[in-house]
Amino acid sequence: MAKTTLGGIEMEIDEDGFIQEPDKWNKEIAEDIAKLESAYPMTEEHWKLVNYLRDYFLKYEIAPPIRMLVKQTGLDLKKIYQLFPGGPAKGACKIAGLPKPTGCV
Amino acid sequence: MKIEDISKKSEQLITIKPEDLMPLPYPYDTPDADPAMRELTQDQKNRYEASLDGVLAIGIPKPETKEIEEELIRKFLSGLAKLLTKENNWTFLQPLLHSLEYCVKCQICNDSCPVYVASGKQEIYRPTYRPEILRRIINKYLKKQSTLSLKLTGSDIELNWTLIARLAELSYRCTLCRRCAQVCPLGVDNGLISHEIRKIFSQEMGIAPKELHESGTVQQLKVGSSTGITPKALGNIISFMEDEIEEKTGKKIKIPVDKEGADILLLHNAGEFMAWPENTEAFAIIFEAAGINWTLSSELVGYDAVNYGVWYDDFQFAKIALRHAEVAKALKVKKISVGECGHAHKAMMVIADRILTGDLNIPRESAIPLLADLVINNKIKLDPGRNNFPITLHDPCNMVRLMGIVEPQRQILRKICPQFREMEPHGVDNYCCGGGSGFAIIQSMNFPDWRSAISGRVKLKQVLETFQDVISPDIPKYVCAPCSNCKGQIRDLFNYYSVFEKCNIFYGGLVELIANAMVDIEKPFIEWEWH
Amino acid sequence: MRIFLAILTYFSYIFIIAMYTIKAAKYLKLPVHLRWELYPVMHEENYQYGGSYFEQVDWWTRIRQKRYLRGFLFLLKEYFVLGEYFQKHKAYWYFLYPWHIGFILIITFHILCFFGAVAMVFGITISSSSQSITGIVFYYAILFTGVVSFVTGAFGSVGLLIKRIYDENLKQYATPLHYFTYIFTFLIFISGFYAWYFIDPTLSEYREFWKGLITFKFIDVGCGAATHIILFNLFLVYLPYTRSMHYITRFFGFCLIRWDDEPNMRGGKLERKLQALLNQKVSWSAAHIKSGKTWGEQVEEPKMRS
Ligand code: SF4
Ligand code: SF4
Repeated sequence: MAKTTLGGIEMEIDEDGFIQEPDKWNKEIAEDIAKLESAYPMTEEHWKLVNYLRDYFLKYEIAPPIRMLVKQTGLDLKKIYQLFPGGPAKGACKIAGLPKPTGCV
Repeated sequence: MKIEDISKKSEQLITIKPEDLMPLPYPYDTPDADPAMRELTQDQKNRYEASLDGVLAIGIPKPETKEIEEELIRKFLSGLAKLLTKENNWTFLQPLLHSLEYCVKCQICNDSCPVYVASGKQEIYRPTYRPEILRRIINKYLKKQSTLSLKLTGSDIELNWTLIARLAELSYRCTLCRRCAQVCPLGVDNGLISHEIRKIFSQEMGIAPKELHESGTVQQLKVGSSTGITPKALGNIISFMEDEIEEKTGKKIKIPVDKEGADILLLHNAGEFMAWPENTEAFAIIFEAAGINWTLSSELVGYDAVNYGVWYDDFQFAKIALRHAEVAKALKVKKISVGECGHAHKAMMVIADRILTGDLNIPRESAIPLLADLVINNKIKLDPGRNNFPITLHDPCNMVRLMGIVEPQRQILRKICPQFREMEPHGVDNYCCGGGSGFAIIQSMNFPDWRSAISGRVKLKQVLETFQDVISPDIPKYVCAPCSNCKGQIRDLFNYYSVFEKCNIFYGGLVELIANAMVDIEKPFIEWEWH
Repeated sequence: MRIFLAILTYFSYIFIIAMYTIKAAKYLKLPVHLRWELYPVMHEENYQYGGSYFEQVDWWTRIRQKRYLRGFLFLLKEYFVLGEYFQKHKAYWYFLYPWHIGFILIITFHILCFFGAVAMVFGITISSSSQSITGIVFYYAILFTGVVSFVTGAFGSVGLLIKRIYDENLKQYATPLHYFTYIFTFLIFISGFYAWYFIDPTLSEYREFWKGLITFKFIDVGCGAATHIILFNLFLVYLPYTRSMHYITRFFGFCLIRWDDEPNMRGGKLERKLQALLNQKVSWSAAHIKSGKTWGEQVEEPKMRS
């Protein structure tokens, strides 16, 4: 576990840069992670995806299946990779402050 | 490198150079075709025990004080001693002792090991290396043999923290595929030794990869699934799947959940719900079409077939196995059927068989023979013409070599895929995808690179060789991998080498192909853009 | 000398039988373990491609036909072929094979000597010109097994010694005991060869010696034969300290581990054994294990919602 400063506060992150306390997440933190993930500056489309992930997570305590995300945001996979070069899980979820995906996914 | 060098302090015991790696066929037959494996950062090297090969599967933090280090050494020895007792390890004692005592070091098992071969035969990955270390420690520190006898039996070794930390990582450089065991004329099983070493670390020292333990078995027992899916999220995903089915096939299907007294409780690896819902959807479509009386469960653990305990910890294993049985018992189903997940197959049918007693010993079977029955006996209408592309089958080790389910999946493919071709070797002689024994889910630091470049290398070679005559990206090709873990590994492997882009090779499960061939579905079920 | 030789011979035979029995009993007394089979399982119907009963829907309702004999014959055949070695490492097989044949034949030779001696007690003359067919058969069988074992065994010992020293893969894992064993076996075989070739071309001394052993009228044998007998006896005493038990445990390993696909049925014998094992207390000390509790008590309380 390492510590780093995101959005002006000290945050714990894991080895792959996922924040460890999802409830401390805010927009500034998201933007700081986005810088590291080559997804900066964040456009409206970035936020659309990040907010969608965030809402889903708050409701279900987990990230949505990728197919669901594509369907419900209307952004196709290609577009998602353009916006988030790290991909939906390692890029977008990280910025949205979700925990790293686990299990056989 | 000498065997005993494992206890000598150095920055790294070995360093794998790109030129060591086993060559790959076209289009990866040029020196620059291999992406450079990521190195750990200096900071990570400072914080974790990475002196084996510069790769981290566990990532043991460096002990802060000499005392902690000594305590760890003491614990390792006490764990090893427990491993050799009936009370603590009756589960594997006989196989373990057999493998420890009767290896004659003829080394004919070596070249069967995909990790050893792919790495350019690195000494530490040799199937007999780990067992040799363990034997020497036992002879010297547990049996306390005399110096003379240690010399004669070549058991000289110094047990220190460097060795232990390296051995822990090293037990996660073997996929437990047990190909080496299969060729041993004396029945020695070097894969089992890796498994047992992992147990010392987990059961005595509390050391295991986070993905397997903390966010694996522990999370599964607590929130219901190692993916983190809660019963509430499951409900949401299931209704999403129903929508998708309708959208794709025009069929309105209600996926049965917690239906008491159903004939079959279908258990999926919950990773399917997250990453490959088309697989679980295909199951629903096929079972519905065949009129099967089945159900899913939404009870904790009852919707996730995985049991990572099978790779590193007998106790976590038993807890999950029992939980699966309890769920089935409460639902009063006739039997449990396991979907496309290799290790769950083996865990539930083979390994758990001697843990479940009394009314928890509920009949458990693979879904594949049932699917074969539906396909072969024309219980659903299929048109093979819809699967008219080159296709090969990857055998999950757990299904073939470790439990003998070999033919049903082939019967299906032969019937519905006109261009089905076998890779060599296959069936019980298959090669592991490189993601076995938990590797596919270990996503941290540079381990994913290692499992693509090294443990998955032979599989990539096999796939490319099988498709050499149709390798052009103009021809879409399909690797059928009826296992969630294998699929995860193949996805990462293919991404690492850009296989889809360069060769147009797609991967997916078995039921997707069946659904794709169903005549009453208009659109193709397989969506190639979801690679 | 003759008494010494006889006592040594009795002792080494009793010793090896006792040691092997103890070791085998220890092995067999180990508790039943979780299944860990590896396919192909030879007694299964579809063993050719490695299929199992799991390939059938509702497998527990079908009657299984186990062909134990097939597995047994497979294992037996491998003793005489060493096929895996032939396939995977021919250069090694060329020496390993004669070495093994040397052992198999030298053991057969001794068994034949014993029965030959019994025959002699019953008045049958063992020689090439014996009146009795049995005598002639014994004569040639003893001669053949003896001589061929001396030759192949000596050849194999030297070959394996050289192979262990020069083959990189083998050298790395070779121990002083490996080298010692090869030299030891070489001496045994070569001393037998010497005694036969230079001293006793009909091998009559051995037969007489064995007759002496079973009639307790010990006889003196020449230097050559005596050397061979002593070396062989010492070898019998040495064997239990090597991995030689693998000749026997290989059977155990295959039948009790690799091919053990016996399902646990409700109310069966296996289930009773398992219940006893699950009642043992464990002492693992990781935090997620309840040390001091039994296996059965490890499992968390059921948390059913309904
Ligand atoms: S495990 Fe078997 S094949 Fe491998 S070296 Fe030992 S005896 Fe030989
Ligand atoms: S089990 Fe598989 S990966 Fe492990 S040593 Fe044996 S062949 Fe290699």
